[in-house]
Amino acid sequence: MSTTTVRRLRFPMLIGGGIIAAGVLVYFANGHINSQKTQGAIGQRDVYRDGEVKAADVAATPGAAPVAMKAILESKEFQSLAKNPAFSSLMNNGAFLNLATNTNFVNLLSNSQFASLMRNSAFISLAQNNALSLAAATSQNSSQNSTASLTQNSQIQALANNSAFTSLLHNSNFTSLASNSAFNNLVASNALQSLMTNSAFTNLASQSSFQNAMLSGSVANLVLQAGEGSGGPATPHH
Amino acid sequence: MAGLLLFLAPLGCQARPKIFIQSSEHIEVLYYSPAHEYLVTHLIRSYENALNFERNLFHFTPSRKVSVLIEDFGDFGHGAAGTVPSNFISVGIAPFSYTYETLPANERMTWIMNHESIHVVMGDNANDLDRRFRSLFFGKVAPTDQDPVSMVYSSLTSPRHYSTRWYHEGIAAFMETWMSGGLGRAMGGYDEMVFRSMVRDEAYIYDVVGLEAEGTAADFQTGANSYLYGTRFMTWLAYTFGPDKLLAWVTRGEKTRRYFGARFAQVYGMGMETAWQKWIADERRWQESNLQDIRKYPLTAVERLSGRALGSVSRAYYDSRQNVIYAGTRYPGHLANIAAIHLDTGKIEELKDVKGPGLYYVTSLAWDPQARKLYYTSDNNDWRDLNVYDVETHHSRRLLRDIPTGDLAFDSRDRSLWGVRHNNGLSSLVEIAAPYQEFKGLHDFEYGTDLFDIDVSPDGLYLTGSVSDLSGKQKLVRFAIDKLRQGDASFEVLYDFQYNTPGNFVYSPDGRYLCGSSYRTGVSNLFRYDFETKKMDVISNAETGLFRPLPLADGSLIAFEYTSQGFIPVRVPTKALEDVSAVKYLGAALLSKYPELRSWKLTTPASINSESLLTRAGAYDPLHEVQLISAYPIVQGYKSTAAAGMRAEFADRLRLAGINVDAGFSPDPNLPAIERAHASFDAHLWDWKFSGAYNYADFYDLFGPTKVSRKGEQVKLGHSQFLIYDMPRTLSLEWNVGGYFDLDRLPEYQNVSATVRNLMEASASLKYSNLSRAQGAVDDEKGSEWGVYGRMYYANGGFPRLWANYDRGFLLPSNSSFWLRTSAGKSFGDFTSPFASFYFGAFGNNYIDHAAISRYREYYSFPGVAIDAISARSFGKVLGEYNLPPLRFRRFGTTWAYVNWTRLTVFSSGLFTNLSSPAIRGYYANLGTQLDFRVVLFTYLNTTISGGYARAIDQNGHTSGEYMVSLRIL
Repeated sequence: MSTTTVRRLRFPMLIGGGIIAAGVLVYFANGHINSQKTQGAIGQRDVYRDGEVKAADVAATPGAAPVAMKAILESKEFQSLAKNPAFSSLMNNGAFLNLATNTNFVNLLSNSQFASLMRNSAFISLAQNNALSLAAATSQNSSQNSTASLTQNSQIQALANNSAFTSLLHNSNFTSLASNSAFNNLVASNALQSLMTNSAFTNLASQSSFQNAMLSGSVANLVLQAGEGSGGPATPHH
Repeated sequence: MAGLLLFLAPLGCQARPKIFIQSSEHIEVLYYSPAHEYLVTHLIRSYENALNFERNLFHFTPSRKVSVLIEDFGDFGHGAAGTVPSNFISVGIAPFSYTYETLPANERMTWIMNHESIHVVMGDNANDLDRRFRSLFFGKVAPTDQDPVSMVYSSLTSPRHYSTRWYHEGIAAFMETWMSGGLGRAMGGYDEMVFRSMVRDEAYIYDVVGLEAEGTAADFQTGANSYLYGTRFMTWLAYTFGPDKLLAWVTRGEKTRRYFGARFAQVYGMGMETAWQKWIADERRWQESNLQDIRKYPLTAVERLSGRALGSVSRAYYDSRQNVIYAGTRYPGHLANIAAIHLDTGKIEELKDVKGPGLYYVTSLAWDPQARKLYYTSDNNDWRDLNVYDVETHHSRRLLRDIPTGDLAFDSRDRSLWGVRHNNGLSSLVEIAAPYQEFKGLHDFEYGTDLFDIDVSPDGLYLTGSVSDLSGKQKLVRFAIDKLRQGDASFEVLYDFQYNTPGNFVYSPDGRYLCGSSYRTGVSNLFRYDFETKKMDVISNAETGLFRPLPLADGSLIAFEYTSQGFIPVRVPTKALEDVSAVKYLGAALLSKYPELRSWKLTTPASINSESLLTRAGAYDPLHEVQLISAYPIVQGYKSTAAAGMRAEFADRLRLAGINVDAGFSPDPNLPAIERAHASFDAHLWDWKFSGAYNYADFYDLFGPTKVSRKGEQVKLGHSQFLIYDMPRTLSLEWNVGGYFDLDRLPEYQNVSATVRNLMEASASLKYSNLSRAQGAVDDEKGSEWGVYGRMYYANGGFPRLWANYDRGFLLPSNSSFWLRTSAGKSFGDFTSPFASFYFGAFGNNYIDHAAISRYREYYSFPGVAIDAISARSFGKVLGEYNLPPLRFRRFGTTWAYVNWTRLTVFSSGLFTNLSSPAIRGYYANLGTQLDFRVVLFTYLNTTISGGYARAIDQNGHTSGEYMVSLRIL
């Protein structure tokens, strides 16, 4: 082949060679390298996984607990309480129903120090004056400052040597509620004071089942349902 | 089942909880919190769904309804099942721990029911012969140490219950995998790694006996080895001989041998030990092949940073000032601790014991480099506490108690801690602001969506973590912290790992990368996500597995390499790799060979019609649920005669109320007629106990010198409760009142005649215990316990007495320990009366016994002199005790009877009596030794053979010696 012929055919030869090279590349890239190496050479484990689960298959939605609520309503403790006017009053108290979903408040109801202070007139006076927050604030300060603050308020002064009170000042459930005016009003209410001295109520309040009922908001229906009567046998819940 | 009251002990410090029940035809679910009720219907449907499958596959019909207790006493989900005497499953509803991908992340109530229901099938399935025995004894008999013949009846009524633990866990894990569509241990990366590592390291692979005798106690994985080995053996059997043969072995049908080992030989034509050896040989070949595949490409060259493996490890942190990494570690012979690993010397410095460590993750650890404080969780198997440890002062303190929160991450921008809270079966993201006195919940995830392995970016703007969904698919995600604080918990998906767990992804110091691990290739390799390129690179090709990467400021990386002895810190090059081979899983090979296993996947529980599902719903009153559990003949000893009779056990499903009644008769004509009839009962309701007896007889009085049988009548009422229940720290208060009538011997002291016939008794005790033991221990090794006791006898006058004890133990190397035990007491009242004295003497063990094996520790024991030989109005006693390292046996016996361990103890005590009366003051000393062998029969029947000798001397130089031989049952 003469030089002239080569020059004449060089472009078609180059183009043809390029096409052939590209074809070889594509062939080896896709056809003859095993599947493991096609994973970018990062192998993937070969495992059987057939675990698709839909939320509807489980249908587990936290919240209402109708069976437990019905059982609580039928319990002797609750039946006894339901007849108590103070309890009815409390169940119709919006502030209580609102606070009943607050973990701090629910915990406080079963706190023996809080229960003992609910019988203390100085503590009640503090609540009536919406001054529980002042007391709680002392627990955030240094001990000297606390002492100083305590002496500024006669009710606080009266409580300064009360071990239940000083202990409560370091209770995070109480300190987080102290500035809540609804809480102050509730502490000052006769209904709560009466019930905190009622062993049936304090026993019920310390039950995790009742606590959960309050936290889930179900407690609002308790008196209503109790009033409708609940003496019959428990029926299956579907 | 007998431990159910203890199981419910976390409730012991609270008011007695109300319990609720919902039941269907085959299952009854009990729960104490309305907040758990949302899971009940799903659990019932999951069990009924599993039962439909098991009824066909195993020809199984439950003997009674399965009782399921829903509980939330631990921060991580779990399940347990028992079938003796009744079918019972407990379900811990918290989200699982996904550390090292030891568990799949799919919907866990169904998964737990699949696993636990297989346990019920294995233990409860019966043929005609078993059913006849159950009918004869009015049910399945639970073994009780009070009447050891019950063990024989128990094995007759539930023969397959008495199989080794690896058998039960192995078949449950094997089946759970296929019932869940491949999500389970038989198809798990961690299990594959464990055996690959043993082959790579040429480590000892336990044989069929040594696994239970040593492997489940001395190895860092402890009881998890039953799951690992059991599942692997089952998978190999199915792969080699087919799934049908496996089913033939584990199914209790007609003409099948009672014992699981004998049935194995019947099905496979060879002994189980032979098959186990074949499996190990095949396992080595399988893993060598996998290792060859991994070695096709250059292995990641790691530099080991410590001379020994650390067992399990937590997330780790680098302290540039000290050039150490901090991590929680847990390995045999040591209490779990937070350790500083010195990178220059490899020295491991134990900084602080971790109370209640997690098996694999040890503790959730976070590091504040400015304040130089480590934050860590304790009680990791219960409700976790948050603690702080100052690495400068070495002081630690608890910050928050019983916050079920872990997965800690430190935000250096505002020094807050972030964590994931598990409560009522749900995951929540919480923030704990400095000074860490309370936490604030920021977002509750839906049931089935869990967040774990979180980290906070160095600039404090983002929080990353792994999120799993109901299907078990997992993603690496990123939250904007400011949005989280505003209530917006939307997240950006950084990488979808599908069914692989994104493990422990943490930020590099410059915030550009996230480094973590994943089994995407089948091996746990390290991965690096680049925020700039949004690309995920693999940066290691490991033979075994690399975990918990720790990127350093200089660009280097520290990680933990899995070995057969646990994790070792290593330095790893940080280079993106192009070539990494996948490994094969034995479970996948099995499926390829037997594709019919796909048909074992269960349909959705939603296919169970819920409209007609429930047969009962309401309150559960233990007292009204008491029923006959079983009744069977017994033999007893009364003084020096033998008696025969019957025992009946009544209880509710949760063992909260129950009564056991024994009645017998001694035919010996030498016994006065009035003493020939015997009866006793013990009843309980929650924390109350009421017991009584007429001519009390006891099985163990048939053997040996110690006699507890007594003439006359006795009745006792008692109450016990925990004032503190913070395991292992407990404080308990117990009191009893009782009366004895027509006595001839003192109730406590067999060799002391009663001078009066009738006696009233009141006693109270306050006991504190805070004891711990390292992995591999056979006894408590460290801690303290004390007790204060008071007792008043009233018989023609009052005889009060007070005594107390204080014990303290010190852990020494190799699971050895030294104990100092002290006690002192004083009695009051008419000193001429036998009621006014303490009595001491002897080891106190009977030839056949059921009480504590180390009885020489009791205040009234004094080996070397005869029983009750020393009397005293007051006393002081000191005992020093050295427990030598236990020797565990890898192979000493067969599957149904093997020696587990032996331990030698040397002790010496001094006893001072009548301290306030110089004329009758006495001094005694002794030196003794005791050797114990633990023998396990039929997996669950722990017996101990003990021998001892002691020599005693009194203040006059008189010496005496005593030999002791004893077999303790259960």
